[in-house]
Amino acid sequence: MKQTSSIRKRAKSEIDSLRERLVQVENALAEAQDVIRAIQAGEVDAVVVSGPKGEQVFSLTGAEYAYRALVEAINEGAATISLDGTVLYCNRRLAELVDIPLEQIIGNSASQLFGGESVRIFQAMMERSLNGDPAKAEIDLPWAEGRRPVYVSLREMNAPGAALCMVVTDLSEHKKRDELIAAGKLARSILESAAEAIAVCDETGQIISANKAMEELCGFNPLFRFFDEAVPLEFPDDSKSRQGRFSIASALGDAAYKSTEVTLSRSDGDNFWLLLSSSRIAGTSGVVGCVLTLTDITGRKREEEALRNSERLYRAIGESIDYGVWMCAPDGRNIYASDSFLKMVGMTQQECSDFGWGKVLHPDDAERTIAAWKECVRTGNTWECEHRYRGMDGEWHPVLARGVPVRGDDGQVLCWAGLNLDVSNLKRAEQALIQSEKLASVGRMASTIAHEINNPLETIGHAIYLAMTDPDSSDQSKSYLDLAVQELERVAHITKQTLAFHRENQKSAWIDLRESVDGVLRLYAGRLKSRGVKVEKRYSAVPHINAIAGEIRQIVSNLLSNSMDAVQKGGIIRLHVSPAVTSNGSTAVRLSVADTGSGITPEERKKIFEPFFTTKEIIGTGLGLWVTKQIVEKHGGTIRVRSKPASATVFSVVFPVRREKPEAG
Amino acid sequence: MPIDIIVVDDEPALADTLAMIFQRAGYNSSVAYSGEQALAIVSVRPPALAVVDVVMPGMNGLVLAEAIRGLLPSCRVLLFSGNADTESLLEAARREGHVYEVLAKPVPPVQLLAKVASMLGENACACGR
Repeated sequence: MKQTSSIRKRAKSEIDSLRERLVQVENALAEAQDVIRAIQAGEVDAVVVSGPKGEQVFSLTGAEYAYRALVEAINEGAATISLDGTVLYCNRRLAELVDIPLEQIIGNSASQLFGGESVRIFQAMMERSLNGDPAKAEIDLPWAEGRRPVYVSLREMNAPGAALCMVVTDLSEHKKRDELIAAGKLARSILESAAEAIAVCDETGQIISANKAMEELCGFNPLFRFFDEAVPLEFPDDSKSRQGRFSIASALGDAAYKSTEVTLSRSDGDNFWLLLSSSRIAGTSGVVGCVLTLTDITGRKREEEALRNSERLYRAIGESIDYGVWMCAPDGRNIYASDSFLKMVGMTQQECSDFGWGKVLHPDDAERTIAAWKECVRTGNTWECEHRYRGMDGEWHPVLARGVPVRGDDGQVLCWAGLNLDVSNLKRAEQALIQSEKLASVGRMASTIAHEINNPLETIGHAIYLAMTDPDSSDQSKSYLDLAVQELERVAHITKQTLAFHRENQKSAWIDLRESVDGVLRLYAGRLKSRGVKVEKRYSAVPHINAIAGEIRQIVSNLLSNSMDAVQKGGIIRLHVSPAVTSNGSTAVRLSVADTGSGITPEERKKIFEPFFTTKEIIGTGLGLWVTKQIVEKHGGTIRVRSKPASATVFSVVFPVRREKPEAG
Repeated sequence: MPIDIIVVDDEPALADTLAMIFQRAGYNSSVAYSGEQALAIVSVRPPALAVVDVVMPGMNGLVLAEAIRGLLPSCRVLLFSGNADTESLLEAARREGHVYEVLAKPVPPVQLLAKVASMLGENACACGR
């Protein structure tokens, strides 16, 4: 029994020992599990592992602990990765960045940290870094709020077990901050360097920010003052849409300003023209303020005004010249012509610009002028050309055109500018000079001839008279001699008239026009009677005129003899002398000579006052009316004619009653 | 007694025919073809009137007229001229105080006779046909 008891004893002790060891193993297991958890949680600094080689302590040294603390404190994500890509260590920051619990990171594949496209990039980076080259890249991490840009740096490390160390920097926050800083700086620098005056107002209209330009515009620092007070803006009078004063309330309200012209009258008397733009700042609960931009356009406005004034000036100068100024584009196209020119040719500016001016050139000038202008535009030479334009009045107007190319700083022709000069007066004067020269020589010759003729005429007159008074001459002979006398009178009349306009000066006196007319009528009495022409006189009381009696008689005589030539036998010539008023309102005397003759055609009427024009081909000198007009004008008077073919013709002469003598001539 | 008239003109035909006209009108007329000749005649036979051409070679009509007036204060002088230059000669004479009546050639004989008659006074008119 003793043996049984001893076996029992041994067995019991064996069981107890086994129980004890079981507890020990259970404890060890629990401890191991704790260590693993601690390791997994990163809570342990050292682990003692019992093994066949005795107890081994795996612990972080003091220095390692400090690094570990640092790594946990930094804002970067950090991890160590084994050769096969398993995460050996990972700090809390990285777990936050990738948004995966720490326990699920350590011991698992590093690739799982990166999703989608980024996995491939990360694996490529691992390969590269395992070959000894550090790899760096920006990778987007999948993130609940979208994607999070991170900067990943992989580097080989010489540590037991770990092959690579990884640092992950969160770029999203970096970026935001940098951008903010940069944007702020930028905004401030833009604001300060802006030529425009910029003010930011809060919702009450108080200026909470203003740049330097705004300060300069105000003449003081307008910060924290009400905008309307600090910058009293007004809309100009000619503004189409708005009137009166600008109010910041409108900019905070629903009014939009975009380059709106406003004026600012500063208290120091300076005035500005400004362009106003505004934009509201929207907050979560409505408008919290607005930004106002003011661009100073005073200089431009003044330049514009100066330009307008100078344009007015040049236009006035241009218009004061007959046919005025013109401007052409570099290609020769007219872009401006004076009103006087357009009126003369009856054209609009548009028509003129469309080369209408070429169409109203005289056919003899058109080709030459247009070719010359083209050549001038090509070479850029000075333009000078004389040509004739057809006026609305049906006349050809001689115009002298002069112009120069206006060149810019680069020598390019900006435009052509020039003058059109009316040279018709010059031409007329030239013509008149030629005419008067011609006339003078003709006059001299005529007077010489007249003198030479007068003596024989006198003698012929004597001879005829003697023959007529000869008691032996028959009645038949006397009738022939009568004819000879009449014809002699005509010859005498021509020579006298020729001499008359060449005669020297005579003295003026106060004369009664009625007496002059009567004197002439007495002279013509015989002729009037022989032609059966009746004269009706109608005289009103008129003042005396200061005139040369002989010349006035010449006028009357010329008009009367013209009428006599015009009327048929039995015709009537009406002579009226009446008071009149000149165009400038002074007292005058009118003589009108009306006849019931053959009348004057409009074509003739244009020319009757020209020298050497006559419708009386054989007997006319073509000088009568010309001389008449000269004398009338010499006396400060005017002569007019009203007539229709085959109807009454009325010559009307008005002499002013003037104090001064008619000019000698 | 017929009234003496002298006609002075450098053109003989003119002077002669005019003298004939005066003769026929009842005057006693003589003729001179130059101023010098006229002076010689008037100093021998003083006329009541001298009809003188203004523009003549040698002594012109105005000089002659002055001479006649100096010589014969009662003699009337009637100038006639066919020349435009006459006016300037007359102007010069006027400035020296000599005023003459001038008829422009051609003068119809009837007018001339009327003028002469009026100058000589109606009483002296010896019109006769």
